[in-house]
Amino acid sequence: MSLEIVTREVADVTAVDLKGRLTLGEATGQLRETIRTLVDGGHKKVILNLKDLEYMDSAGLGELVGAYTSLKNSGGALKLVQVTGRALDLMQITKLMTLLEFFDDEESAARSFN
Amino acid sequence: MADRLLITNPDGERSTHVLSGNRLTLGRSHDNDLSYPEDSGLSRHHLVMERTGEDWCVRDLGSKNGTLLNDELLTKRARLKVGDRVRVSRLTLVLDVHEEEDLQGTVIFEAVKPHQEGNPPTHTITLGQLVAKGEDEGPAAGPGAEWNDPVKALLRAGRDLVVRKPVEELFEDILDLSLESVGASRGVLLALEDGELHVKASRGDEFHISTMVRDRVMKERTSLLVGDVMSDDVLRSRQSIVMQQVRSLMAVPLQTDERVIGLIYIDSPHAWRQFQPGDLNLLTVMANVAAMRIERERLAAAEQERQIMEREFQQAAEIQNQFLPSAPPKVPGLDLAGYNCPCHSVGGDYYNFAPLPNGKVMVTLGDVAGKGLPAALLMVNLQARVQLLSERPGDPAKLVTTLNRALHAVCPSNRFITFFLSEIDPETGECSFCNAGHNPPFVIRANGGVETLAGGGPVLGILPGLEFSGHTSPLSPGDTLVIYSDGVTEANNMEGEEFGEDRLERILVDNRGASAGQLVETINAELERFVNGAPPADDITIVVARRTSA
Repeated sequence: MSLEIVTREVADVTAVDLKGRLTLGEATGQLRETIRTLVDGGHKKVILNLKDLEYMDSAGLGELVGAYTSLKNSGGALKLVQVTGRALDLMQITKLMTLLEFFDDEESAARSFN
Repeated sequence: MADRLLITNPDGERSTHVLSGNRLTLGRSHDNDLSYPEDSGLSRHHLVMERTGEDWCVRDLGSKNGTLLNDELLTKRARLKVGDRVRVSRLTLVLDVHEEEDLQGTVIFEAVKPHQEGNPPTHTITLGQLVAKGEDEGPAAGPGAEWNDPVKALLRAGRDLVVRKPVEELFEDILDLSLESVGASRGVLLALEDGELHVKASRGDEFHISTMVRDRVMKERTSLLVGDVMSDDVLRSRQSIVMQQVRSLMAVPLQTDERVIGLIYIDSPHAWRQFQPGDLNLLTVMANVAAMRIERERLAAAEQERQIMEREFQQAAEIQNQFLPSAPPKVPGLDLAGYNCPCHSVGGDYYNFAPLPNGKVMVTLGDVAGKGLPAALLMVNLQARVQLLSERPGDPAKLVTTLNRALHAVCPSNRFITFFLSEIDPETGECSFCNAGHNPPFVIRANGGVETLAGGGPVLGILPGLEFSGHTSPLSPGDTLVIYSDGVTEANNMEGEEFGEDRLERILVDNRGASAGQLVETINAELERFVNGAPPADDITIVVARRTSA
């Protein structure tokens, strides 16, 4: 029941891969820490790639929203890439797609940053 | 600051007298604060101690055998310093003043370069080695034996440490026992707190402990003895050794089976008292006994706290239960039932039935993201707001819009609330609703048809300015509205399979003829059968509203 987070720089954008399960507990804590480090480090363009995310619960979704808000408040933006399966179901039910922007790949997400 | 008098009687037994007030008398007579009627070497009123300002003074009251202060006969009133020894008859009194704030300056760890370190200590031992030795040799009598009459000292330790005391007081006792057992007068006890060593008790001040010694004791669990500093050319010239006039030193770990929790360091400035391997062995074993006593006390304290927390949670659960309907209201034309089970003692699910002034019934269900105490706190706030909303008529979309704006102010950025609000007219069956990001409730038609009610808007608490939309769905007699929280559909069995919406839908369709109460029970029974013992992962809530024939 764990989450692996991989951060990489692609041009002037930071891509964060979430692999495994994003659920209440250690995993949500890890994500929060990662985002806080990025915000403190002045990163303004962040992409979350959910391709290898197997499972997410409502607390995990809450953390994604929290990440979105953190970046927005610091003058940046968060985009989501490859939202599928459980993550997509949750987003549809909660209608958070109005808030969070989805993209099929990192290139189109990167282009969307103004 | 608690002043104390340490009193030693001729048998070597120690007692402590806390100095309160400003005066203390000692003598054979019963009217003294400290009276020793059996001691013929004392006069009936032998001496008095008086406090002036911060200091204590001692005065002999014209006793027959006199009073000695630091081995000199007391002829007039004298001020006492900490550590001064007052001797009357065969009693020794030592003034001790507790200044806890100053303790931390007592120990300085010296990082010493290798060439300043001196030769290896003259004797080292570990507890494991001692135990092995003990099993082979046992306490041996006679001079030169490595077992230095440990029995008496250990018996004392065992006896004195049995008494229940707060951990902080134990440290003092342990150091005193240790010093006494090896006949030393200077020593310090340090304990680990958050990974750092803190001075917990000390006799004497300004201890310089080399980092090498500290690390060997703490990391390798090794007891160290340097019998005679003077015989080590390098060590004897180290400034701190010279300044403190250290002649002989020992350092032992405070250890339990699992870990090292601190160390005891003892040094001696006296040439005539060099520590021997027997002293080190005894000190090592005593420190082990002491450490286990400390751990036991800490565990007892932690257990007590845990029990208090558990009781608080139980009470919180009882309180939270008050915020949920104890029974559904009786409404002609509507059969209502509800069920809630938090995953931990308190949870984030909420539901309510509220008959409205206009004759309709408001049926709501809310689910705070997450679970446990944080979710429960938001649930309580949600409950209060919905309560207020239900007291005045309003269209569901407007109510939810208002609710969302209010909740945004109290929701942390990583929390949201999914919410379903409906108003059902029991006479016409009209059901107007607004779904804010919640799992779409089912409407099971009498003929087996199924609809889901999704319209409304996103979850509450994230975007304050959202406008929600209202929707309607008519309920004919025999139709059932079923609202559920995701704890139902996401319930897992041992294989990791989820209950799922499809399975729930099938159960609802199959049981659409049942009363609301029966349906809730059936869903629960099926859930229980499915999870087959797997623990619940989320709060579970089920709400059923069935339109009966008028």
